[in-house]
Amino acid sequence: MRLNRHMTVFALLLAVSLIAAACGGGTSDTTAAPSGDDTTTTAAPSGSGGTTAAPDTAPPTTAPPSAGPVELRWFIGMGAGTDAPVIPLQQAIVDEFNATKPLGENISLKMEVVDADQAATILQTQIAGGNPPDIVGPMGVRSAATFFGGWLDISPYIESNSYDLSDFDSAFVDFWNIGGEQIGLPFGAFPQMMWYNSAHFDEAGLAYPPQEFGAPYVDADGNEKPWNVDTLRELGIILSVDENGLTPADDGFDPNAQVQWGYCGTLQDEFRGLATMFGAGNFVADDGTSFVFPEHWKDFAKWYHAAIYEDHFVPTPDFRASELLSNPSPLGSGNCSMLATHTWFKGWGTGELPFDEFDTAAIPAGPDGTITAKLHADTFAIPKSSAYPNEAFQVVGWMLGAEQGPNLAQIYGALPARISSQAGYIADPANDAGFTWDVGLEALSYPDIPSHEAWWPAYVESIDGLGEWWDLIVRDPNADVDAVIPQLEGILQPIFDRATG
Amino acid sequence: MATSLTTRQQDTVEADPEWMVKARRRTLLLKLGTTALTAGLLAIFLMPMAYAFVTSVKTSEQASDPEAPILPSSPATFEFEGKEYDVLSVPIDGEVRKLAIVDPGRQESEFVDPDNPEAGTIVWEGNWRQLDPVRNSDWAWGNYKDAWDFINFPRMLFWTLLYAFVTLVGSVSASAVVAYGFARFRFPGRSVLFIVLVGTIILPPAVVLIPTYAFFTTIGWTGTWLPLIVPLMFGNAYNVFLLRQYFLTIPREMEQAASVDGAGPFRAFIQIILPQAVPALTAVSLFHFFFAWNDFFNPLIYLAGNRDIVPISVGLSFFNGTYQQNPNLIMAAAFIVLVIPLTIFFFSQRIFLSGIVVSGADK
Amino acid sequence: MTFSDAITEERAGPRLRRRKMSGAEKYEAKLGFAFISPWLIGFAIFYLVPMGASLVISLFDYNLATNEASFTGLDNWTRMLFDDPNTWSSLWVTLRFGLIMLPVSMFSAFMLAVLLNSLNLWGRNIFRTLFFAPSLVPFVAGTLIWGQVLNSQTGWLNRIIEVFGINAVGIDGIRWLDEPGLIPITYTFIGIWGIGNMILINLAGLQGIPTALHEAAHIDGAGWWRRLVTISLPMVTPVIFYNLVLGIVALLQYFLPPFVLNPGNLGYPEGATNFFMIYFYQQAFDFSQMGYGAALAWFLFFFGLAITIILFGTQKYWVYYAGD
Repeated sequence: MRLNRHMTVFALLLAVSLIAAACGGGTSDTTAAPSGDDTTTTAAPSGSGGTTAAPDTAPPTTAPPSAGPVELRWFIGMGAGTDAPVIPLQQAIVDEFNATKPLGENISLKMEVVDADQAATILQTQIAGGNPPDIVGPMGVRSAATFFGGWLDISPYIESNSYDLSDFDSAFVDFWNIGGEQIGLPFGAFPQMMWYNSAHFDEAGLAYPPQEFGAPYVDADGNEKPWNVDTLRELGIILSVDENGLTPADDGFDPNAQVQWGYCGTLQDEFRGLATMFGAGNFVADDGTSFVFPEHWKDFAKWYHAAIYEDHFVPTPDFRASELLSNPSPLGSGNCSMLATHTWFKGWGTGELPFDEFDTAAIPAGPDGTITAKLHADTFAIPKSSAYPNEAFQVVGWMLGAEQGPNLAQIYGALPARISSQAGYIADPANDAGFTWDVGLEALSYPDIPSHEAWWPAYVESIDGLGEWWDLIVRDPNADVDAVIPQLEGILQPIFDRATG
Repeated sequence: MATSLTTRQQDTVEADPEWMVKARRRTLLLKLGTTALTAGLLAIFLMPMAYAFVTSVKTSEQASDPEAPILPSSPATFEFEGKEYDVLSVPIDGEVRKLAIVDPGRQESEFVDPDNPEAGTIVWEGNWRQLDPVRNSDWAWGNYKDAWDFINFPRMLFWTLLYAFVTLVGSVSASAVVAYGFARFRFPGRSVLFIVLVGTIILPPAVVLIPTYAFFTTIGWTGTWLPLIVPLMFGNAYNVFLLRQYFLTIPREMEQAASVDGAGPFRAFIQIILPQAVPALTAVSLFHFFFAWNDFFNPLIYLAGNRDIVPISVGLSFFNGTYQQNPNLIMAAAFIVLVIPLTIFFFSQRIFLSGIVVSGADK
Repeated sequence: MTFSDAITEERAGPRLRRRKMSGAEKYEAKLGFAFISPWLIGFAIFYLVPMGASLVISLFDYNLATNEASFTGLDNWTRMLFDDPNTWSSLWVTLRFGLIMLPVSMFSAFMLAVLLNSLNLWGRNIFRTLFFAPSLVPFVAGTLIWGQVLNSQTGWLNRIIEVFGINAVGIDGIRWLDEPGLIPITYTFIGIWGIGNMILINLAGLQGIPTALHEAAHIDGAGWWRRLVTISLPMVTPVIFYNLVLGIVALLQYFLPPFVLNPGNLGYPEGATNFFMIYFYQQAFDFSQMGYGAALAWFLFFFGLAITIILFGTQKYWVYYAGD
């Protein structure tokens, strides 16, 4: 027992010494510990030396002209841009900037490409550690959300630089107005289309889905039916096959030996993105704090569960994660007939499929007849703690300009956000990637409003909660979907309450 | 053990040829049994590695073929009118023919005979998926070359080896000095300091990540190798812990004898203790080398974005794009990366393992 | 001289300190500090301030996304200890896993070491190298390997089990990553794979046993098992102790496998993979609540320190030090 007492003393001693050290560190080393100001909200614990001196609301024109050369850091990894083939293309843009120096001799640009899986942690470390990059992107709303509150509101910079927005669709510009702050301008749009494997349709003796939004599906015998989720299910079942060539409609079909699936949902989406096919929606009521479950999304949850476990035309999550459908993508594996995804799928996603074996078609209408093709519109944002916000804005402006904008769009598989560039872009043979771009252009007329990535309270935590709930349905063959649906409110409402205080 | 058995029996029983044969047979059986058991366990143990290896010699197309056998193979193909078609075994009129499928269908499919393509297409009724494809073994060894070319192995190897060896020398020598201090000398607060040392292992590194990063940013070291190398030069808690355990087994008398001869404590440490601890130092060096070889998160954070100076561990993540993954190339690269540490391990066993017998016998 | 000695000595410490240190003792103390000074300097420069800073951060509501902090006193600590059921459930998930993982891995590491040390084994060097190989597989590849091998539909594990006539593949088969009850077993498999270091340390310990001991026991007629239990096992207890301490530290910090195998839904299924460090990561990095995360990490630190100190205390009952 004497021994234990001494142990306690050691532990206490250690604790005291560490606390003493910590307090010492806190007062003497402002870079590492939160500076204990009297105010409750203090500046960031690090990087307060000079970098936050310019308040982000200060008119940029009064920002002191930077003396000496400035090297701006462009951080890539939060979205597209880390795939091997596009890295040299981005480097070419950086090289061109540094060769032509469009913003003066003093400003140069440097690119940092980091591991996509770890990008968020690296960026958090850099920002909190006082070494923030100046430009972050391209990225979608979901990635930007981790840092909501930390991005620079660029509205004053747009004004002071008289940046012309008339060539952008105003809906696109508003896309990045989040919580009243303009945190970016879209450089490109990634409309959603139905990508399909035409060889699968041929083998099953089926006609291809329509390429015109709103057009009917015309089957092999010339009969018309609406191109909607019912037709998708019908075709999906025919296109799903087990190793003996039986479909889910046949007796003796073995779902554990399935080798081909009719429809694989979307790529890299949480529930809201999957469900937009049944119509856009929002889990947050207009008051911004209370939970509401859109009825058509409840229908979607039931439809999708049945699609996986009763009709077997959508793969189970396990099949989906297996190398049968992930190497490199469901469509590219050659084992999936239809996938509803965005133009960023271009190039890599179709894998080794020959160009004449796939194409794009319209998104089918939801149960009530409305067509919704959800939209991604990526941006480049500037961290609030960037030391050179005005310069960073000007570089972003250059990147989104009429000259570089289409280049970036091409690199990332986007339609240029600048309206004036779109038609020429589609006509350019350099952008031929084996599918019909016109479908994408048309899809822009059916965006999901509100966006499936719209802001909601405690963005990341809410998405986590949603994912936890969706797994109860999508990963459980025996889930009683009607009983699981109401559980979402119990998960999300407390998160909303905590976030909105 | 088997040899000692023989010796003992020889003492009691005079050389008995019949018995000798029996003993030899028994030893042989024992060896066979032990080796078979170990091999069996190893097979279970290495099953995931076998999967990784098979994946490393497949193309992405082969990997996602649901009906492919375990070993890499591809369906035989036949070129007909400018396109490649798979060859299947088709039972027609009581014989099985190898035909290329040009137009697959659910009820009937069209084939051509590769030996006689001019004869036109042959229609076969039934579901083509029930036919067996003709497969040829097809190992994608090219993955290894592609992986090698893709991430500039020689340059990454240079940085990895530089990191591993510089920190190995610095960390192991500093750790040895520190461990000796903890093992041999009485000084006030020794136990507390040792618990503090162990405490640096217990505190999750992730929680000090940001303050540490902020510190290195302040002194301008981020983006270089310095934050990775310099701290290790002052010793590493794991190494100190392990070496201290070994030093504690060396009798004090050895240094006492040296100090009688007039050697100072540092000289005694260098001349008496270190030679005694060669196996332990080898062990620690090995562990450190493997740690440095596979260190992933620290180089990732501190060298972020500077793709020209990253080590191999980080380089492997280049195969993972935002959307695109190439599992086949990742596996191939992983096996290339394994070769060097495994070779070092294989050859170091002589020093590392047999050497310890000496230190044990000395006790 | 061992930890237990150090502790015994420390118990005698107050008595020593009460009287003045003799000149020789002062000289020895100076030498001791001189020898450990590299670590002391390194600790002071590179560890002390960040560690202290992270402890201070635990007293702040510090948001990584906005990089804003406000002082909240002990709020994070009281929330963690009294209001947050996840603190205790994630600690329980970790410990429950440890109750299976630690004994299984330590036992297998010891038995494998005995096997790999056997003179009856042909090709010992090659076997040792191959058993060690998995612990050298790079992180990026290891992630992929386990995700695919454990896949309930196409994974090799289920396919092999199926060969033995057990229904394993498929929706109604063995779902290693989906069945909460299976989770500790699944992750034990993964853990066993990386016990190369433990095997190696055990091997070193076994090699240190003087062969004379075994021979003497043999003459006394002791069988293989008795020699193992009465000679080998006690002789390697110092090494087992070392493995145990590091094993517990590794257990408390267990993170990577459950993190990479459950992308998008950490803790799946039903919180069964919500290990303590997973919960820490989610709070500190996913939700950017670094203040709360720091409190969690320091709680884990004090918990681990307490276990370590208790372990050091128990040494004298079961760890055999030949040098004593």
